[in-house]
Amino acid sequence: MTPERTMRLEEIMAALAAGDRAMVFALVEEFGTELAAQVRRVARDHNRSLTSEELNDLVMDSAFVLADVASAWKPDGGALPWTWARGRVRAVVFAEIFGPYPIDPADLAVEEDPEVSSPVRVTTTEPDWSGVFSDLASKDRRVAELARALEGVSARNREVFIQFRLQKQSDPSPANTVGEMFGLTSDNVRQIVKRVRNRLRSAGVEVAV
Amino acid sequence: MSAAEPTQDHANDFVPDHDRLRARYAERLRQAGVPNADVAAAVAATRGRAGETVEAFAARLRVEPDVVVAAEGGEIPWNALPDSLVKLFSSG
Repeated sequence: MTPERTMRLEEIMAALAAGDRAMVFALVEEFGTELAAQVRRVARDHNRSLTSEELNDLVMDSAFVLADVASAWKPDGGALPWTWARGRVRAVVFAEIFGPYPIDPADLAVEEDPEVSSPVRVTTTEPDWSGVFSDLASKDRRVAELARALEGVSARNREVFIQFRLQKQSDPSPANTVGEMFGLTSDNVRQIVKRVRNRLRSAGVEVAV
Repeated sequence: MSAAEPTQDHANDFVPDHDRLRARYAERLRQAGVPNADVAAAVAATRGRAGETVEAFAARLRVEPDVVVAAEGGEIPWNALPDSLVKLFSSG
């Protein structure tokens, strides 16, 4: 990306962070190709073709996702916003394509990683783990095991764990990024991730981090 | 979302369907309970596509910035929009 485009992207993200929602149109107008590429990738990963209308809807939805997290994105963090928020974007696109069932970014990350065997599905913005796990646990033994393993882990720590897992897909310094998102130091983030992973491991659930 | 419709899957570039994008935005506003969502979306889309700040957009249309903010907030119905905004939409 040229320095001029990078600067323009930062301006748009700053405007979104300041609450100027109309700038989602600027984002789509000027960076729609990048957003569309990500949308297409999600669809392609699931062997799904998109109509022009679907693509436009999903590109706009992706822009809304980026608007929602714009205040947490740091231009000097190294990752472009759609890469940085890839998990959230993928979750929204996935849910729109395949139905209203709430999907957590971790679920999609899990699908990409053959080392991880336990699919996790929760809401993106307000993870109601107990409700989602109760539902899924009745359908999938592995989810039941994971739900049991996470009992007693605070909602924040679960979210930190998931965000770290997602950021690590593309972010060279995920602990720093997640720390900024939650107001934690990078050491705090690593400790939380380690504790949750150990808890899962002690319960017989192995999750690659 | 019919699978029989043409797809953009194999194109590298994204060709925005501005009517569709605006409708998506309006739908989101409606879901949030914003009145006059179509007006709000139309104004936001026009300003957003131009990449203009509220102040710059208002100055170009010779209206107060508060009017733009109110319109994008769904507080102004079509028939109460300032002429300069109405002309902007009618001229495409």
